[in-house]
Amino acid sequence: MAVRMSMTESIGRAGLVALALALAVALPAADESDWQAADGSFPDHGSCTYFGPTARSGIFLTEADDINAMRRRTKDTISALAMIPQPRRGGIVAPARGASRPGDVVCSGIDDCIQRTAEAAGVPLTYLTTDAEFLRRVTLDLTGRIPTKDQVLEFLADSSENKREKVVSQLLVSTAWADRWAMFFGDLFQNTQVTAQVNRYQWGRDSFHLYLRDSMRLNKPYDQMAREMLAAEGVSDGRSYPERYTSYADYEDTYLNFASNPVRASPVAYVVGGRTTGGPIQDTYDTLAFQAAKHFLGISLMDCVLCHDGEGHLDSLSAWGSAAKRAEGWGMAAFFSDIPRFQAWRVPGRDRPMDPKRPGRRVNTNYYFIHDLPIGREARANNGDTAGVYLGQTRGGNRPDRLHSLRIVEPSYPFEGAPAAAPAAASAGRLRASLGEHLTADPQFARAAVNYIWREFFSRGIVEPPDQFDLFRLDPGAPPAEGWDIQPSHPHLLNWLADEFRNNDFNLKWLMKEIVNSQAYQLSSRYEGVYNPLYERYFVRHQAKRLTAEQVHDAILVASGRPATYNAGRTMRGLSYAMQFPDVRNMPPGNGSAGRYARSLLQAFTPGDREQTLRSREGSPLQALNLMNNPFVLNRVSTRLDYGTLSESLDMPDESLVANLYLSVLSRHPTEEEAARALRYIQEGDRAKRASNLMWSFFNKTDFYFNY
Amino acid sequence: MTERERFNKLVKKWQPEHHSFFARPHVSSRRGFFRNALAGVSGFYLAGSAAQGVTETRGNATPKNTAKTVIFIFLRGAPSHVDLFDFKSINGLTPQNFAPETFGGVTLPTGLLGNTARVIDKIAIIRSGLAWARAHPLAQNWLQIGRNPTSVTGRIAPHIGSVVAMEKEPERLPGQSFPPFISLKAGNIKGAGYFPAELGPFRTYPASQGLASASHPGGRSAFSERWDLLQEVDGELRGDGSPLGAQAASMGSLYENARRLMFNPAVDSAFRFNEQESARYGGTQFGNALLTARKIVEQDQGTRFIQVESNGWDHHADIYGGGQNAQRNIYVQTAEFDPAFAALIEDLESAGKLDETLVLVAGEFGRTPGNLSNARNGRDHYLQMFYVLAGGGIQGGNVIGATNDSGGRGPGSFTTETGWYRDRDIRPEDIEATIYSAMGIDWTTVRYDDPLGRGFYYVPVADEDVYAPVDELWS
Repeated sequence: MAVRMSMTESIGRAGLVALALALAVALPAADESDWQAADGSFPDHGSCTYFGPTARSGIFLTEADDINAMRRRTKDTISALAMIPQPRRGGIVAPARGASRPGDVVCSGIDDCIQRTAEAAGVPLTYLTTDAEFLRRVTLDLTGRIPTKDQVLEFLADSSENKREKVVSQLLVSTAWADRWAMFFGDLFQNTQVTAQVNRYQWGRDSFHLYLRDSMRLNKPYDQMAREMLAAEGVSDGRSYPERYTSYADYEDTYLNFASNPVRASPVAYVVGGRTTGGPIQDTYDTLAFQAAKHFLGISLMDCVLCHDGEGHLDSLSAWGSAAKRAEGWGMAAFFSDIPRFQAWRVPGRDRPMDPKRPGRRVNTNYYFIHDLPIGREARANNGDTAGVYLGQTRGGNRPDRLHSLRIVEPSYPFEGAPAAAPAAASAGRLRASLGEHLTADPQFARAAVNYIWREFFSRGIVEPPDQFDLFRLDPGAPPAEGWDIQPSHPHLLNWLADEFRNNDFNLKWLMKEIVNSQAYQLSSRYEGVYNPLYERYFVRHQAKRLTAEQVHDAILVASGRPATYNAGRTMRGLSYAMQFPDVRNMPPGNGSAGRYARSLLQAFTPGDREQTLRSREGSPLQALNLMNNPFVLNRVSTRLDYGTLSESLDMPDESLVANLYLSVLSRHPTEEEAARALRYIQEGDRAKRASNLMWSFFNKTDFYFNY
Repeated sequence: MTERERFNKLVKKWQPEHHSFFARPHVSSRRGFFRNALAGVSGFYLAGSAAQGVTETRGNATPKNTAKTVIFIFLRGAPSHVDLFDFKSINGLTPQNFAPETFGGVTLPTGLLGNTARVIDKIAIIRSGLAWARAHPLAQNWLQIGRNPTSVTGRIAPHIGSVVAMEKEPERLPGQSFPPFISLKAGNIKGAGYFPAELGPFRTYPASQGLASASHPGGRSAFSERWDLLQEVDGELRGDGSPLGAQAASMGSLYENARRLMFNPAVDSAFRFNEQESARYGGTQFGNALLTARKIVEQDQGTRFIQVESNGWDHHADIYGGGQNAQRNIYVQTAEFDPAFAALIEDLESAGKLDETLVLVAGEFGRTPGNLSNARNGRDHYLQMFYVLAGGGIQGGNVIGATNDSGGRGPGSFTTETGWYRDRDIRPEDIEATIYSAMGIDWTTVRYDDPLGRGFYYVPVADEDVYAPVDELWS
């Protein structure tokens, strides 16, 4: 679709570029009333936005030794604090108001902050979870699977004091850990094949998936991932292609030959996801900026700001948003302006060989080629757009008209970026890399990351929802204006985690280890006494959460000992677990009955679409129908197959049979009462059939359905 | 200022959510309230009160309220309007065997739509349809959510069917056990957006043996034994006061709701079919889906929106057959569509359900009119498009709008008569408003529970009266 810019038509493209260059005035300029602040200055959020390293000294003890001492003290004192509360009788205990503003509780470290904050609010913490519950919980959270029976038995038999830490270390080095977090980041970065705006094609999606998975396997620092994704260049499926195809044989050798030219890990398809049609290329730059703000900084409101100033629009929603200026969004978007307009890369017609299988047609090529303009801002794309600069003037498109005169928006990081990384000039042609430097140096980058990860373990972010950070309401030392609360439930904890994440080189495994080894994470999901839903923000009990689609599917495989194998397209073949799928839509593909059954189960557990619909943990009757009746489940409790947990159990004495089923499916020993009841049931009728029934009922049990 | 000028002023090309929409203040997010209102509710029985207090209307709409259920037949890939419901014969090009005939003023290619001709007096045809975009995924999403998917609210918008479900769940009667929104044979259907996941499509595929996952091997007694055992081994965890918290406490009711779909005569009647029934609908998977849709309507079990899909209308090549695309041409596609569609209309009518069931047939856009593309003997993407509607209280036999030649591109390339009081092309947003009007839903409703606090408009910019139902369908 042609982009219409009236100026383009009247003065021609070359003229436009010349004019744009002649008029290139860096923002802030002197006379643009539609974005300029009242006093004529460019709006500056400055350090009031943050309490990062520069402003932190007034709040925290910043000497490294002191922090370590504080952490040691925290560890020492935690067991002394009463983790087992006296049940409170006599009605709901409302958190006290006024005195217990969470912002006032100065603390450091996970357990210190959780305990002090709960204490200040007068909400008692529950007791610690049991070993078996801990193992199932931490295995699900870290690897997406339930522990095998052998793992349960080994863990329960281990009498060493640090056995929880030991098992955490083992789980963190497993390949399942990489699969589970590749799925998480696939969700976060919205890696799906087709969206309303763009078709990444199967191989582009797979290539990005492989990039995420390999990054996990290598435990790549998270800031490095962000920089690589933002600045990614090359072919969107990571394969190699010639500049042009000289013949059909050449095409066969390169494009069609997956043996010698396989799909390789590449983050290019992340950038492809910003493609925005039906408007000027500035719309694509804006989408890329919005995505970066949402994915890496937890600031979805950037989407709004890229259409209009916040004042008069976001006033009741966000203190930061109410002061944000549209031009700031452009400043961020301008970092992407070296990317020329991209489409599925089709070699110009004359270069594509004829397709012998389709007379009269040329062959198809389905990939994108993302590259910055070679000499940066001196060069211009030749596709009729204005790439090479972020031209401020637009008409029409997906966002309101920008400026009404020809001005060029200079790249300018709107938040607290890297002081040293001077934009634009110092990195001609490498604007996106420069953005990566700014963004990963921003304290908000670490804050958003630890909050996203925290939420995966605790079901609730310290800032919730995690993509709605309000930058003006994070610092308890500099309270927001009248009428606003501090946004995080535990501001000091959020900052402590973010700082330590950065001090530990953005090491995701370090972060997760810190979380799951905390006592806060190891609290029971049971709660004695009256539990008020308002307590949720204090993390005083562990929130039971429904297994995700892939977790349910994989748990059934692990528990039953009856595995599956899937091919998810050309590249992702021979997959054993749903957690290894590169996408959430239409997985596993194909018309075979096994695939359809698995797909039905997965869809019932609402994995979202990585586009408009988020993954959900809500329950629905469709989930129950699938667990009760889907052949995927029924085949795994069937006595007709002679392998797997059920067959193996049937060869055991009755007591062991019962215990084996409990251990395999529910990852725990039965209680005495449960064992006796199950034993009675098995012995009072057709043994095999009843064992099958028992196993079926376990797959439908609450403590299977939930990670608790 | 004419209506068309007014519209063009409000909505610039490529900018269906225009300045005044962007420039509207966001309101305070009430998602927390909404979440709480829904907490603990499970099954398809969303509390009627959940919708209260988060919505307001922003216009003077008077919905027609003539339909109870919508069947949306989505022809994915974009069918050629000039070869089907806006038929234009071109000498020397249109195949002889299209055999066009005129019925009550409507010319149909009976070679393709011979069965549909039987029900021509029951259907209304809109020929002044105009899509916003010519890219498949963009336009497909646009049609299903009734707005620009690239816009801020488009990124979180629920499917139109989810909005219908949200609005109609409070009217559910005791004993009605089907989900509110069902999709049959729909692959990449849009979901519930920011609405509760349960209001998304209940996806299933038609099968003669009935609803997948609603029957159990060994029948009722075998299932009952397992069910009773489950209650026994899990009793304390799944009910009120579950030690694992509020969500676990709803397991019991969730399973009860699921069980209500099993060994349920209404489910069997709706989802099972025999060969003879299937043959009447053409014996195809698409035909089976329409057959199932009809039976779901007849069972009246609380389902208010059904989406059925037919794939393969993207006829860039060999649209009239021959060549390398023998499996994907307009003959093959209409052979699937035509008998099933006619049977659906006839059967709904004879069951007395047509008047309360709005049937909508649409693709995401149209195809290039005039000569076929040179290289490939096909038709390419084009914005001009048709909609076909039937039932739900609308007047059969209506033809709304007309097209003609423009700039030598061939007949059918341009709206010459809009055929409605707004006097402009009919957009997907107008069709969305039409659906809501037929269903008795105020299309000017705004919900204040969206995550961005922007206010989710059922139909974009309803307070400025940009889009409107096609009221001419009722007269």
